[in-house]
Amino acid sequence: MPGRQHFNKAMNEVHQNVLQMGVLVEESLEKARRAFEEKDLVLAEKVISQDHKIDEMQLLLEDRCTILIATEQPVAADLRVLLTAVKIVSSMERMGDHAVHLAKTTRRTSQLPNLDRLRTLILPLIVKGNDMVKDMLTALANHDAELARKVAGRDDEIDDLHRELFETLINFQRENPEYALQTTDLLFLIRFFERLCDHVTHICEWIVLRETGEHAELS
Amino acid sequence: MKKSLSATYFRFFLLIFFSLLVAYMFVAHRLEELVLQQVRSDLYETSRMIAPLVPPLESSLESGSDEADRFCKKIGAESELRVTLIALDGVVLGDSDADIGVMDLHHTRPEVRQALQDQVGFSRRLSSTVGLQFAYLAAPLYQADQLRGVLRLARPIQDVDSIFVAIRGRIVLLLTAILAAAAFFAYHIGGRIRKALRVLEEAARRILSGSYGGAVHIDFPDEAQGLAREMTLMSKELQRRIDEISTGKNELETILWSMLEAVILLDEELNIVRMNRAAARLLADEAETADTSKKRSLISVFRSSSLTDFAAFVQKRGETQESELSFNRAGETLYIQVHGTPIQLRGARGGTGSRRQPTEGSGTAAVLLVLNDITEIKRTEQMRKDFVSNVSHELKTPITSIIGFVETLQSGAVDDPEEARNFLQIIQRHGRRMDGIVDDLLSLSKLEHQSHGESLFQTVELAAPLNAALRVCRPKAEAKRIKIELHGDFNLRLNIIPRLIEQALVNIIDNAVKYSEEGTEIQISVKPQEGLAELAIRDQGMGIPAKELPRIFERFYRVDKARSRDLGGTGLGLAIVKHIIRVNRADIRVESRFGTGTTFFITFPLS
Repeated sequence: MPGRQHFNKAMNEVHQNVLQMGVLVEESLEKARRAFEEKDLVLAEKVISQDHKIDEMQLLLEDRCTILIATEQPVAADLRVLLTAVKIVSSMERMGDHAVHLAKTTRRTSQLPNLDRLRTLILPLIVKGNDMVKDMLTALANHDAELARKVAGRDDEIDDLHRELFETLINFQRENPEYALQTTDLLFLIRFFERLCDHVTHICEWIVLRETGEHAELS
Repeated sequence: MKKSLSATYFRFFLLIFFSLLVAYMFVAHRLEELVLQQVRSDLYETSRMIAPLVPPLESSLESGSDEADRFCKKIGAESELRVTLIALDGVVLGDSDADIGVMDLHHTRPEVRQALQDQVGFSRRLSSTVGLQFAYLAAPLYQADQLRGVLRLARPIQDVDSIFVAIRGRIVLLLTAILAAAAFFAYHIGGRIRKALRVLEEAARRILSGSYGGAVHIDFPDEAQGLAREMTLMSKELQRRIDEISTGKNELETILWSMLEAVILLDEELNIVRMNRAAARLLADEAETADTSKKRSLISVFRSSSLTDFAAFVQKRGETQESELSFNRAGETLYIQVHGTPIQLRGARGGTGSRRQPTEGSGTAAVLLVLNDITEIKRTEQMRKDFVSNVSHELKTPITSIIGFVETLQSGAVDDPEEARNFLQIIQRHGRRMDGIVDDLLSLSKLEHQSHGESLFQTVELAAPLNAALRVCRPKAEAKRIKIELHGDFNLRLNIIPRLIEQALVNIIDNAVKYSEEGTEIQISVKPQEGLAELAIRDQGMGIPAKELPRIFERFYRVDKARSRDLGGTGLGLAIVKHIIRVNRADIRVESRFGTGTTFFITFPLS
């Protein structure tokens, strides 16, 4: 059935493109992390200037999925794959934005040595968040619902870490009012990373839905 | 229609059965005919003999005497035949076995009717009078040249039948025997042919399942022996060719596997067809991701958008491309030089295994990627660049100061003895610093280029160079109230170059003193283990951040640039240590936690 073959090929392409977009986000987050850790402003600028690639990918993928749904009228599993793809890419786009936030925060805070201690404290949150993204992508690539569940389970850790950091930052802000602006930046940053992990959890839920057809509430 | 041997066999069996049945029926029919013929001719002969003896019917008919009946009874008794005389109108005139008074008119009987038409009538039927199977013969009876009546002779054919049955039984027996023999031979031969076919089938299956080279042997039939011989030959030839191919393949596989360059073969849709060990090493999770049994895409395994883009670019351009890209492996950045070549995966020969339909219109090719890890080269290159700029910078700084102060002196400061002495001291300090840098560079260069002959190696106790080093460092340590404590037995005997080891220890302990706060401790301990001695120098200083650790042995590399120079370092101390340790065939590593202290471990082989 040549039509079917054609459709399967298109479906595989969608899957590969979603992965590609995921890898772009992963790379962007990793670069932003390195720029943050190593105070590398050139790398941070690169992250900011490359974000449009992720946005374009989102539009491309949303269009493709819409066209496939409209012209091929897929049912059951195929439809599920396409619908979850649309949801996954929109979450991924947000995650890409968080990488940009991280890069911009780096730009604003890296030149202040007095903030170094706070930055070292925040780094584990970023590393853990990036690790979740990485493992989520592995689950996505390998159609591994089990791994997706596990990755989503790590969200609690992030929430705890976020709460702790929040306290620390607020205290610092109180004691060092001259750094109020930068501390607020960092407060936003940890908030964004907490949100990033929520996105990861959502994507994990959609991976589970795509692979098993079950609506899982993982958060 | 079934075409199996047994079905065919069954059909032939039926064919034989039916032909035998037809033959039997034909013979049986003929036999019956013959017997009846015989009976008829017997009866006819008898009738010819009897006819002249028949009393004149005309007169007896007229007189109504029973002469004819008596005649019949007499003849009947003598010949065991039934004799009947019938008048032309059908009236029975005499009968040997029955009372003529009760007999009906006989002119409707088939044989009588024939006789009345002047023919010899013959028929065979159940007698209504006697109730037995009879053969009847009726002959026209001429007396005085006039048809006067009919003479009918009849005899029961029961006895004839019994003979006939006996013969028929024998024929049936014979035919059954023939049939059974035919069936037996057919079955036997069929079985042997089946067996031969099974042997061939088994041999073919063995070849299919990959066990080649076995001989195929068939005794029967001769026609199949040729086939068996050919199959044996074919199997051996296949074995030979496959051995040849697999040897070649193994060689290639080994070459591919032991190559330092990573090789990745991608299909048209950029799925990984196979990759070698070096490629798997580029991945963080080597064992898991190197599994190519499943079809997985390049992007899902290597997680690099630039590598995937490059592969797609090669595919699009259709010619070999080269590029350099960075690649993230478990947090560290690798620099990769990559060559990509488009190739046709399915040969133009239209190979046997071409399952894939060629996609219409798109002439996409498979891609072969060869990746070279140039991280080390990049790093060395960077180090060389850094070295040159560092040397110039390190030498330039004191020279600038010296020239500056000399100029100040020239422009009048020389007349102020206090100022002049001060400036000259500064100039001296910078001069010494340059001297120190040049000395360090020279000793580094010596360490790098000279081969240290065995003559310089001495077997000494570790205590000797250590004590010499401590003599150098103690005054500085005491000035900062830093205690140096020794733990363990330092009388281990080592085969080393004592002068160099002393210098290395001085550099390490001096660093420890420099970067420690006042009133802290430095602990030096030694631990022998399995032919090795591990010397540990632990301080409670500021420590080194983890990401700086790999670089601290580089020339002019400073964790904290400003501070290091203030403390009078040349930036070459640890580089010299590393070279000394290497020359002494020992090993050095460092552990550090930022804020809590640093420990250097030197492992010597025991002499």
